[in-house]
Amino acid sequence: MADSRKRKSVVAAAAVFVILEIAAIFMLSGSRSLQDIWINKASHRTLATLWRSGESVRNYFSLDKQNKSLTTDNLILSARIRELGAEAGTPGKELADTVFGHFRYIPATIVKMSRNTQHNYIILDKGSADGIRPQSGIITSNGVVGVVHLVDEHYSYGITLMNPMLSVSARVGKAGPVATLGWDGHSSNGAVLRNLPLHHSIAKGDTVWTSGFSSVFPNDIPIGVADRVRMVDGSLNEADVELFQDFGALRYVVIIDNLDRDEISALEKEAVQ
Amino acid sequence: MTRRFVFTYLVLFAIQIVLANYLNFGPYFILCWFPAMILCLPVTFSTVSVLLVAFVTGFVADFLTTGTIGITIIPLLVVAYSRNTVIRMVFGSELLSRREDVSIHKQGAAKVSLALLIVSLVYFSIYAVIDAAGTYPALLVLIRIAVSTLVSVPVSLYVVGVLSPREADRWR
Repeated sequence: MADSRKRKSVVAAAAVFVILEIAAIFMLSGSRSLQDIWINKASHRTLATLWRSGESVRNYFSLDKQNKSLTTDNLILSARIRELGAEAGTPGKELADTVFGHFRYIPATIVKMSRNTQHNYIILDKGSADGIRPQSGIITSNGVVGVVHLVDEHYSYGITLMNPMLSVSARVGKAGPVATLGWDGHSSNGAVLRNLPLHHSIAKGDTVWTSGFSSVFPNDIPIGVADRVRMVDGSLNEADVELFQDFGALRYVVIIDNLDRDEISALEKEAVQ
Repeated sequence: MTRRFVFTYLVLFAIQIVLANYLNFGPYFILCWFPAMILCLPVTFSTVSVLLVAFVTGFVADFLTTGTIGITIIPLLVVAYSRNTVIRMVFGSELLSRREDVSIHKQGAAKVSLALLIVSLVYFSIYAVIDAAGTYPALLVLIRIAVSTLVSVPVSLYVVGVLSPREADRWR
């Protein structure tokens, strides 16, 4: 009798274990399911609210440092506006709008950002109410940060360059080869430029820019500098890139929305058909 | 299970959540004492109850830290399921028969450390592999498991001391 009861409890425990493990694995792997997006959104919304309070305290204590950084950025941007104004023959004020060419620039504050996992993400305090759409780029004056993945009413969730799921089309030098840039997998300011043709010589210190060959980022945003170059599989080169943006020291970002994205997507769909 | 145990469990859980959110230890190491908390659950708890507690603990932890639901639940369920086996292996079946809880005072720091080493190793092995998802080199995953286990075991030993009712009585 006791043996039978013991056997039953062992079987019940094993069944519960298997059921719970399967449930957990489903939760983990169903990243494309609506339920997962819902759970993620709810989780991030809660986290965003919690982190907003925490961040405001932290922001207060780092205001001095931020002010210095903003002043420097402001000086650089003012110089750039003057430069562009002189080239275009138009007053600087018109260029200081948030829309440049086909892109709209929306400043945002980081509510939360993970840096110590393999799939790092970022939560920003701007959402659909501010005109943010998924697949918008996230940048700073120091380069590319990531891409918006999910958008809530007041917050958006993006994956950062410190995430193997994100790769960016990049160019070495202003007229060099175009290749794919992805995270190196361990450092907060390191990336790897993959699939570089062998016949292009890349020197250590060459600047890496966005290529503009996607509807997410405009061209010529500086990303970093090339470091060690090595041959892979005897047919391609791979270069380490030291990013200008250290992900360990981020607070504010700019979200870029391509105003022509729908038109480009429609054209691509039409071409496929 | 006393009210003090529930309160201490919740406080330790909250500290772990705050720590995971605010302290960045880099990619080489994770500090986590959830396996110790599961090990310290009363021995009178059935395996099913321990599994349910582990599931809820992992779910809430994932919800409040990484947002990747499942990453803590999966290894924690394995720890919960193997808990009685570890207790039997390290402390002997007498502890289960006498329905005594795991305590440094009664079982000794060496035996408790050994049990913590086993459950932490199980937990971090699974966690690191899932978190890496094939993107880390194997050596880096192994370093992560080893460093996380070595760092977390002494902290977990302290956690066992805090959770253990005998320890509290001793200093009263």
